[in-house]
Amino acid sequence: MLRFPRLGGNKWLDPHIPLIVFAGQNPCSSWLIASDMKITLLYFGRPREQLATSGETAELPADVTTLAGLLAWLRTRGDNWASALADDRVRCAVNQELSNLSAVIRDGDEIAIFSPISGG
Amino acid sequence: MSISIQEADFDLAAELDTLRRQSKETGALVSFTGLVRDFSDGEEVESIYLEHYPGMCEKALEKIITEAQQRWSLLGVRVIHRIGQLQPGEQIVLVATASQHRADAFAACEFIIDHLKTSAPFWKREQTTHGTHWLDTRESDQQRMQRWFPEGENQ
Repeated sequence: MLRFPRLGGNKWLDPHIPLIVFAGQNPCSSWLIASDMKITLLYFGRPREQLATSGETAELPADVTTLAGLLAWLRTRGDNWASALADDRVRCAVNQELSNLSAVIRDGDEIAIFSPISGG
Repeated sequence: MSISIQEADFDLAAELDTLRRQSKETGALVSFTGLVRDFSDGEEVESIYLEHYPGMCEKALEKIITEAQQRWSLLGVRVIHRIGQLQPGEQIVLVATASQHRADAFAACEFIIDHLKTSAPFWKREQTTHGTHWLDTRESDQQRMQRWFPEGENQ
């Protein structure tokens, strides 16, 4: 996966700028923001429908360590993501356990993002 | 304990019969069946669509039933939850409990359905005459669930 270096704050570099490198193959990898964390993301209910995806694998930037951070990072993908993943609209599970947004993410985790549960 | 998540309908009488035959000690059988209503918040419901999180759903239901077995003396528990497209009047969910005396079966059945509503990962999308929308957890369901956990007790 391609990773994009970041210039301060939350502003992402334009991905079209040819500054792209692969982490792990670059001697300056500490300078990159990509971590070694790879997670499985699953979407259910309203966000699955709104985002038109049921899942993906993602490599996380180094500063994404909690569910709250993960959601904030995913929201930078665009307006549709920001609205589908608004704080009051989603719930999360880490490795199939309901979790609150302060939960810490670890390499290999299965993280599900969904609308409030409404079975029965 | 027996859990099924399935598209197919279920036969309430046959399920209760199976549960009844599990133990000769059984003196009480209680069941709850949830149905698709044809009205929701004043809108006519044409159908509902139910999806679930495979794996987590089974785990969550096992955890709920295990907790019920710790709280009450139960001889058997059967849970069936349907998924997919359902029409008004159709059965959605079955919770059935067996015990020696009725108090345990009554309480456990109510506990399991209250808990399922708020912590088993199922999602309902209603198709009404005005379009489709995903339902949120009802406040009244949250409150019913909370009754089982006296203040300060962790869920």
